[in-house]
Amino acid sequence: MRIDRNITRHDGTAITLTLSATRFAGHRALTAGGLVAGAFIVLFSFIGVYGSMLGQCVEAGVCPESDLNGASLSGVKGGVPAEVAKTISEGIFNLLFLVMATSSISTLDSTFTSTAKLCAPELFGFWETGAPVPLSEATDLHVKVGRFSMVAMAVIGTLPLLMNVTELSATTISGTVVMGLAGPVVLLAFFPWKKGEVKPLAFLAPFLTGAAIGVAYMVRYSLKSADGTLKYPDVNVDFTPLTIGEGSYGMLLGVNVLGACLSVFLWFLFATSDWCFGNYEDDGEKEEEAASSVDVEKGKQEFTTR
Amino acid sequence: MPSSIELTVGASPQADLSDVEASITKTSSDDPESGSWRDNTCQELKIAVKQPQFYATLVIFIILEIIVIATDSNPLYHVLFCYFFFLTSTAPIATTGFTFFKGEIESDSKTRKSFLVLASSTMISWIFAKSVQNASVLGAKYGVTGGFAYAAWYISFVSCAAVIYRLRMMGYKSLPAAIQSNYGSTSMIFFALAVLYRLYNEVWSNSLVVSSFFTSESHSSEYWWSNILSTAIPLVYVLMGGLKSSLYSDVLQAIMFILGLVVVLISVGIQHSENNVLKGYLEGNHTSSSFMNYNPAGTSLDRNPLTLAGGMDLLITGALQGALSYPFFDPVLTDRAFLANPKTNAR
Repeated sequence: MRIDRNITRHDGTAITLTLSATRFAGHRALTAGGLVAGAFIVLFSFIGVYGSMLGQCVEAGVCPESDLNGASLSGVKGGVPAEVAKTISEGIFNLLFLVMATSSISTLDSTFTSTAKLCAPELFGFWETGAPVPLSEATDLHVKVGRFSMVAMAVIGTLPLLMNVTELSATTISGTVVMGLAGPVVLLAFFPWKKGEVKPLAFLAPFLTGAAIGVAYMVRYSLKSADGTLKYPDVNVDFTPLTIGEGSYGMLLGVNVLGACLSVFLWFLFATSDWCFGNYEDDGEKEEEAASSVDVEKGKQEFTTR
Repeated sequence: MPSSIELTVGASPQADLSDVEASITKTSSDDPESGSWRDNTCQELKIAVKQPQFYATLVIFIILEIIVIATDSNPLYHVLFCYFFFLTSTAPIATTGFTFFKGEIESDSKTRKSFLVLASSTMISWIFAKSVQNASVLGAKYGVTGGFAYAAWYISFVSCAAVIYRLRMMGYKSLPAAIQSNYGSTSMIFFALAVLYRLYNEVWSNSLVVSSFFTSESHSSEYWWSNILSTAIPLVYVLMGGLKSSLYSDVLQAIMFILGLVVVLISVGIQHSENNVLKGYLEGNHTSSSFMNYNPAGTSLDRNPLTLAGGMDLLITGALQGALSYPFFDPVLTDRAFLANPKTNAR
């Protein structure tokens, strides 16, 4: 649904405000979804809190061991959901499995659809036409390529299970590897430059710097072998001076603060310079720019009046 | 339902937006389609039952059930097979790119429907099986502070909504497109590789959580079956319907998830409140026996939950990543932020 509203301002210029309820709904939906998801995460931590309570009580010899109901003490005390559920009853264990299977399946279906979108209209489209193809123009061939990429992702994504992958936090750390996106994506949205100017270094410098620091941190301090010890403790990088505070995540925090600062700094460095190695003007986009500048103005109006 | 209002306002355009909002509500309640979408869903279900696809799925389901019962396997397989049956038998078969990649979220008249679909879809897709695991483990380590620390990553939603909103205002249709037109093709390829790496990690790390319920022994046959099944089931129904089946199954999954979670939490609460020995021990040795104030380390003299060492270091890391970088390499989130927007450039 769209509402066009023509307004004559006091200086006499007429502007058109376009209000699209659908557009607002999309972003409110996202924020609403995020708030609910965050609240659920806090609620979920209660399972671990209870596990820690019970585990410590049994360990101290105050609570009887029968309270564990056959679950392992270290698992319960460490808050592993499956073990905590076992202490309650088999029914709750099965129900928790249902909850976990639900969240796993729903994440995987979205993972596959995102793979298809990235591989077919975006990457395959780039190879075909030189630019990612908008979803509304996706062809039947794109659908085929998309389906193929889903199957490929499922097979390749299962292969790591052949090795002894035990360290789930490897993926939590992956956020650190992409910390360089802070400048190129967030700041681009708030300080855009003229359309048609291409500044590759404003992306590559912050992104690759962040990735290098992140990978170094991951290899040295986070990758563990099956017995739980660090896999590559001899790699010659030392992030100890970055550590903030006494906690067990102090170094992770320090690395992320450094990464965010570097990303912002490098982005400004390369984005504000008009001439820089690798910069060029994309002529093909100029016509489009002229055509869309009116709409962009309109969009900005809409944003400020919201 | 487009409707136009002509107005002349003397002051700034901000003057009375309430007017416009009022008419938005008015028009959408006049919209016949948004009220009756539940009926439509029933209708769609009835049609689905008559499809050959439904019977084919039913036959496969029965065969799988017979195998599990005959071999006396783990009863948890029944849950997976029921999932397979319900989601595959009703999955739409996408023939066009519009269904497969956009989930048919474009029609202007279904505002309320797409709001519900998108909200529950982002919610459930972003609660990964491993985030449930991590939240619980952090709860055991730091008390409720651990839960809040992990929830800090969910700032991603707000950040993603704000940033993608602005990028769409500039006329971009997707994040890779925005990156290519501002930073060039090389940058876009690097970005795509980072995204692919993330997607690849999602596959094994989520199925691993499911298989941990079946067996703790890796590389056993149960381990393989549970991992393969939990990857294959979502693969089958998204192969058929693409984003459309993903979005619509998300609604069903969100409901199941919330119901299951509520029952598990209530039973945890009951266990806790009935165990007086436990409460007595906690009152004596830890700050409190309540879920909100319990401190796994003992008392706040041992470790104050409001210090860096008490879990705030992780909370700040999460907030920093969530606000600045984490959401943008996760297409599960950004793809949805680019949906439900009919015309970025109103042409």
